[in-house]
Amino acid sequence: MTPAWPTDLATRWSRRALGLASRLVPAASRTEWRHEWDAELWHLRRPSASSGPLRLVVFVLGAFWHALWERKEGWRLESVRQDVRYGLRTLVRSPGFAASAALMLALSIGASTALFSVIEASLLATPPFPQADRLVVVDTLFGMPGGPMGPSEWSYRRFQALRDDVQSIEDLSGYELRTMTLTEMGSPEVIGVETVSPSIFPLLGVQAARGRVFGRAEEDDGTADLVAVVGHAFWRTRLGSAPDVVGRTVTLDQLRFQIVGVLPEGFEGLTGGADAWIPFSALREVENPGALDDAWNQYFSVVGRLAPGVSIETARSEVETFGATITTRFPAPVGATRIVASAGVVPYREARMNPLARTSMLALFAAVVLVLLIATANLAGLLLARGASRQREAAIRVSLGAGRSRLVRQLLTESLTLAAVGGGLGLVAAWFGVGVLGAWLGDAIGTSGGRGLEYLDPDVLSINWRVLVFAIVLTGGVGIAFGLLPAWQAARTDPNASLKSDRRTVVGSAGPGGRGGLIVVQVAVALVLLAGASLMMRSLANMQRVDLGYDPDNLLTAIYSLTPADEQAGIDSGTFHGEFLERVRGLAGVVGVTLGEVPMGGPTRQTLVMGSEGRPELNPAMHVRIRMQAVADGHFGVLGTRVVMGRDIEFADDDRVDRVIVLNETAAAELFPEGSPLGRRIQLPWPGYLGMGATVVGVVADQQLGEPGRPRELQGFVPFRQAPQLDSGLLVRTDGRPGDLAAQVRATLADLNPNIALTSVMSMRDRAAGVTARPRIVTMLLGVFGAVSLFLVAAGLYGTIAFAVARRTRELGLRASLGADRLSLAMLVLRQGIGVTLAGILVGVVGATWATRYLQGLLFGTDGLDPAVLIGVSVLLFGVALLAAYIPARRAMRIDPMVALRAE
Amino acid sequence: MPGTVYTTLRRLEARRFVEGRWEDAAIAEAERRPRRRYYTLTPQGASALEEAGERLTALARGVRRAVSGASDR
Repeated sequence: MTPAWPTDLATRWSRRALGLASRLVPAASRTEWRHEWDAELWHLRRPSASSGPLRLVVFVLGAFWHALWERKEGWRLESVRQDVRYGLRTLVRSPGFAASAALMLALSIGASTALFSVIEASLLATPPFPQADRLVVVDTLFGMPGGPMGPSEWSYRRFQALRDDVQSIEDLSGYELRTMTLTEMGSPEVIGVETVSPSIFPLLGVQAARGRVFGRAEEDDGTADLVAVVGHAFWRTRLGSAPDVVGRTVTLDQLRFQIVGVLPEGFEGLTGGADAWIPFSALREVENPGALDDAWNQYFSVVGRLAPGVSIETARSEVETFGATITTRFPAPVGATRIVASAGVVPYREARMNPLARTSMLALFAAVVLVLLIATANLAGLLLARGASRQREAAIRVSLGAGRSRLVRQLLTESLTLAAVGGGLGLVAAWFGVGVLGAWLGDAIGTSGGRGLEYLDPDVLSINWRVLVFAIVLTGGVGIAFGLLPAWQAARTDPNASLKSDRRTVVGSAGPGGRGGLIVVQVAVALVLLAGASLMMRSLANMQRVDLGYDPDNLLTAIYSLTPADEQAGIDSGTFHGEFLERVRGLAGVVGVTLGEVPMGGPTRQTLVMGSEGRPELNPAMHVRIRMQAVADGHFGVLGTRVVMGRDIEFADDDRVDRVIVLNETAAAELFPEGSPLGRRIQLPWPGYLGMGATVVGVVADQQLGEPGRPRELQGFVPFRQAPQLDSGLLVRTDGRPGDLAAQVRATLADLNPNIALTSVMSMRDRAAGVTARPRIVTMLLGVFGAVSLFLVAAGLYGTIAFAVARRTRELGLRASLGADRLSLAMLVLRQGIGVTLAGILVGVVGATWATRYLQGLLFGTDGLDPAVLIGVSVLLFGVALLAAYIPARRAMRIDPMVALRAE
Repeated sequence: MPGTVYTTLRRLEARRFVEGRWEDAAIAEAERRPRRRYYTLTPQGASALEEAGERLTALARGVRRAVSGASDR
């Protein structure tokens, strides 16, 4: 028997309201909900209760509130679970589609995520120092009056003055990375040593893991402090993690340094290349007792932290005020008196970036996102096609009472599920790929940026929360992006039309139009990618075609250095180099040997030209710089450099005769614009080269000593017997594989002096390959992205047109039976593909013109996009598109009208 | 408001602090009224209640001490 409800108006209306509210409740729990609220109403309307109208209103509102809450809960749990389950089922039912879609997504999301982790680590992440955003680099700037100012290094005297004068920046600290030879720990080895101010450790928040860091005791007081702190890795590998490390000594450049502390694991200094640290005061012993006293002996950079409450603008103006006083306080050396000096402040994060590396990384990231865009458009096209064939399903669901919003939600859930599967796999791929990418990019773009600061530590690349969020947002965005169009199409389904008509003849509402638009996007984006890739390829080819000015084949290169201590011990560097040369020359397999700068290796010396007989007006303030090297006799013969004029360096050019110099063509033209330079003199700020100067005895072809793509530079060559240097490059011409001689050369040096390390032993070919790694890897990756995009576009176009042909089978059959010839049928199909491709190419050309401007800085020997490149990639894309459209077109030609019509 | 009571009851049920049980249909029909749903506290619910009580007491104590401490000064 049903409850005996009171029949008064208030109760009747309340029950009606409950009925309305119950519609909001998910069907599964609707009955129970209604029962419970009926019971509640019964209780409220019981005869003994005196409930006024207000209580009834509150009651009804409460019921609606609860109903809405139930609905929200239901949405959250049940329908989403349902949709996901349904989505997974549909995906499993078409495993081919699901697998290829997931793979495509996994690769593109994985690649984007891995590259993003690099961008995150180098551009976005906060450096691991306290208040890293308040860290600043203080530059010292020099230039000519009215000319541009360029950053330079600090000298210790000027740095001291800066520290005394400037209050707005705290913990001002100098740092400089040098190499020192480690001995008395196995065979001699060159390690990275940072010379630092003691305050750098509190500045960077670094505390000693053992012992102590530098303190007040190591501030320069005019005496040398031979103390060192060592890095964690150094302590582990060289000192066997000895617990009693503090107090031991380590021998660097033949000097014994007392170890006072070990730094925490992972810290490698601001430069990222330090194994050990020594205080500036040690330079009084490492270099010479006056090393810190010459205000123009400049070699290090300065960092500090903005004082509390000080803005960077305040600090900047204070530092600029200081900068203006530099030349009056520290008179410039003779001949450079016109130099103007200034100082500036740059945020640390900005200062450490290497612009070329930034452009490379952003270009790669942009490219990978474009590939993802193509993949997304491709998937949207595939899903549209599937959606069209699932129209009956949609129609049935709608006619069975599914709301359109429910339908859209379900389709979106499906595409999001697919994206999640792809994104998850992509994340796994990125997880594994990020290490490889880090090592690769370390080689390719270098990890050292402006002011020698490290900007990317490949070891710390990881999928952190920020990268994770990026991957999740990307996956969600992609899922919605490729799901939206099919969902919209489904929402417009008219169940009557769909169910009544035959499935094969339904023309999808968002059919060819929507997919055509997607193809246009894909073609356009692919064209941008291909144009970028071909520009980089052309630039790389230019780079590899550059005439180096020497023969890089069969050339073994290495670097070694004597120390000031060796000199003090009575070793004459000129005699030593000569002896070493003689011994190497005697080795079997050596065709020739010389000293000098190792191209793309060093040691590099730049010096100002103080004067030239060919240009009387030339003075040091004009900042004409020349790249100098001390070479052995027969240098150009060994290297295969063309002697244009005059002669090579000879054995007789020693310190008993006048100083001689050989110039490259650029230097000869710059310093002696008129007449032959032979027999005329130039002045250099080296001992013995000022006053009398050096006589030009030869002119040789320009050599490419740095990374290909650098502008031409002035180069000078002097005999090492006239200009002795402690360090030198060794260049050995071999008659076989250069690497085969490495061990023998090493042994020869060890035999001569066991305390000297031979470093950077490498064939010239390998060295050149290392230098061009960045452009090569960037180009290769862009090429791969371009190829992938081409493939995706072809697949997308093929899929779309094949689908259109399949759906138009009846129409095409009808046309054929009415007498249309096969060619015109094929053209009908082809025209569809050609139209969208041409539209895409048009859009792409505009896009490429705009986008490739950002590659400008990376290009060598090409000014940017030229019509040849654009036409080339357009033709390529068009050809591929034609091929992709041809296959379904051929199928259209072969349609048998009888079969097509009977199939209905 | 009854709406908040029911949403709270649902949440308590989801956490198994209370257990809902429908009344026997026969009884409701005999009395010619809708079926009632009876809620009982589970042992888990009881201990959660205990805990919450203790927390509130501790909080009240803390607040009282803070207030009296402040007025002393």
